[in-house]
Amino acid sequence: MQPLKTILLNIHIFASITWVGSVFMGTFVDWPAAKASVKPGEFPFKFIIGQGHRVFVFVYIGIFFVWTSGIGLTLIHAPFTGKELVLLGIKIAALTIMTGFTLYGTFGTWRKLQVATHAEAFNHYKYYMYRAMGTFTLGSLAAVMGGWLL
Amino acid sequence: MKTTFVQINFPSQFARYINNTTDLEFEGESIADFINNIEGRFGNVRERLLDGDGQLRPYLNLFVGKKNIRSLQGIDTVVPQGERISLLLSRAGG
Repeated sequence: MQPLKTILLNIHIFASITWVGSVFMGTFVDWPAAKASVKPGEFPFKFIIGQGHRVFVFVYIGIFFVWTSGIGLTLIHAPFTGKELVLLGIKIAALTIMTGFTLYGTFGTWRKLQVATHAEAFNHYKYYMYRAMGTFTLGSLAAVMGGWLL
Repeated sequence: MKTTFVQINFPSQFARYINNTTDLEFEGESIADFINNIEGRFGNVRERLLDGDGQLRPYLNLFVGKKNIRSLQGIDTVVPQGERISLLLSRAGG
């Protein structure tokens, strides 16, 4: 069972880095740089939508493998104590909210953003950024919970 | 001037800006004429479709029938009478 656990754990960590790392890059690195590259009042559509289009596949691959490897790890190492149950519960809640934020972004925000005016785009993106920061924070929390569960 | 009748198939995110219109007749025969027409009728539309150079935003895909206008003549593409104009948004988001 140990080799399978090691494989699943590595997949879980790599998928988490892919997902949360993409969100970190988009939120804290790309957005300030993209905004600075256009005139004031202009939304950097080309860069932001282009980035969102490219990151889409990586994020959803990350989400898929985080969940599947996480379920596998839970089956191998089922929570036993009350503390483990609480940690797992917090981690599942965090991942559920993160997944919800991402799905909302894909089917809501990013579709509206593509046909938004510059002024509307800033507004849509402001709330997207709040959710992205939430995803990053919850992802970090979930990673810590996962570390304590090992 | 020639008028062209077209069917419209736009996603709800854009269709609401043209009152969910599903067909219309416009003066002219190109995509540019079509966009000018819906800009005149509904307003605040051109900025949503075109970039600062007057070309279709790079991640939007506008089809005349089954052909993407990028593989034709861009916004100068002539729309055949009765043809369907469709807009496809890109998959994006994380």
